[in-house]
Amino acid sequence: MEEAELVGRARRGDGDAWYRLVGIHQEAVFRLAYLLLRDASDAEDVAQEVFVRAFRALATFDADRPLRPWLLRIASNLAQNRRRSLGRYLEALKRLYSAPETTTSSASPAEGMAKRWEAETLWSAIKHLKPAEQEVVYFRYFLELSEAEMATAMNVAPGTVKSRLHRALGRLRLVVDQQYPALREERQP
Amino acid sequence: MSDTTTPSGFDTDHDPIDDDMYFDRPLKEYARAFSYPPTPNIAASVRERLASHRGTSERSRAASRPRLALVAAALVVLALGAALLTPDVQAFVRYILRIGSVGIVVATPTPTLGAGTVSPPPTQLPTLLQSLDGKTTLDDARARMTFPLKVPSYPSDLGPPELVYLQDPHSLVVLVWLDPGQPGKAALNLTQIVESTGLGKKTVSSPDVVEETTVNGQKAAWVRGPHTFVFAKPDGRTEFQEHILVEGNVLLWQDNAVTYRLETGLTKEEAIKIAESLVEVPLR
Repeated sequence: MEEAELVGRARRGDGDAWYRLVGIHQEAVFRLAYLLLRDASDAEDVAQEVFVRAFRALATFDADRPLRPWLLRIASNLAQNRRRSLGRYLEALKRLYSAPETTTSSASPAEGMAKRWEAETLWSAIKHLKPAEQEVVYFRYFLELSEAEMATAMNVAPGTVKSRLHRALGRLRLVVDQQYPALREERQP
Repeated sequence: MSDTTTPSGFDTDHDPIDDDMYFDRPLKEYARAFSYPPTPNIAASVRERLASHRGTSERSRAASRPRLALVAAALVVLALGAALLTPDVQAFVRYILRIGSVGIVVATPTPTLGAGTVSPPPTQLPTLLQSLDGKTTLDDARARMTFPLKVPSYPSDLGPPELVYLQDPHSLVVLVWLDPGQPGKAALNLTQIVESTGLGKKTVSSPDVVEETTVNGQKAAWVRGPHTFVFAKPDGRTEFQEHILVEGNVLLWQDNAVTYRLETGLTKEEAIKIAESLVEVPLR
């Protein structure tokens, strides 16, 4: 069944149609929330909220457009709001003390783990960017959205996507050069 | 890539302006190797949450969604038609004015609120607003909004708002200036809503409290004293319907596709001066 048809059915109150759509898009939504929040529990909460809110707002969604960028836009907004909430930081603090996480950015990569180490180090570097810059990098490289999808997800013109990505990459390059040189040098001959 | 490109893709002797090329390949490579936690079964959780809301009363459902109520309180949202109202309410209301996407209706019998005074005290910062979702900074709101954000340039010593709330999908913003002499109270509350954001109605107890006026030569409404809002779900169902008390006077006007709502204890003349002084916040 086509996505537009599922959306149409969900709009008419067909919960099963909506749950199928949730199943299709939950991974992308959860992953974006995880990238932005850096916490799986928070990401799950946000992902749930995205699909609950989206269902309630389906009447405002243009069914002729792809659903995923719209869901990702909601996810980004909710994640940004949650990131600012004091309660989240308190919860994160509790978790930190109850189950300390190991950091990977300063450890040497083990053989066979290099790619993962690089990916996680890059993630650490991205954390130094502004929220809007992080978002554009995640959309482009981690979720591999097209330019048109990014424009919808960010609610900006395609030209703005390009310029924002360019700025983000420029900043990221500086961060890598200055704070994560190992990422650049790790695999040099 | 140049000859100095490393096996991982980062060019160590890159052209300073070629950031996109410098990062493109390694970023793709690294991002694909990123290890995410397993995706939980969101569909099951969503099913449970949506199902748990069915069968409850309209009032209890509204109460269980404080953020929607908050939004309703802050928005003075948008009216698109009488079909949004429940039949019992519909029988008692009639539109008297529409400004932009905000419809003003008269409801009889009146709510438990009386008509307001001409110059009420400074607006009490609504309890709900204190925990309104989306608190942010002016700069962040400006960067993320889908339309130009404006602030008053009058009075000249007003300064930036103390509180800024941006609602998704970034088409509604609430700016609050606190009363310096009365902590916890708002002197001004300016809401900016792009058309088509939502659905709802401003409900007043009597047509006498609504006065038609102008802002920059355009039709505007001055609503005196306490009144209520009715908020309905976008698809017309009434489960989110709310009646919210707002103290203070409200000036409603529209500029292009944006509807503005200024809530204040000031006089109409002062409110109009403020409304006509709006200037765009520059993007930094």
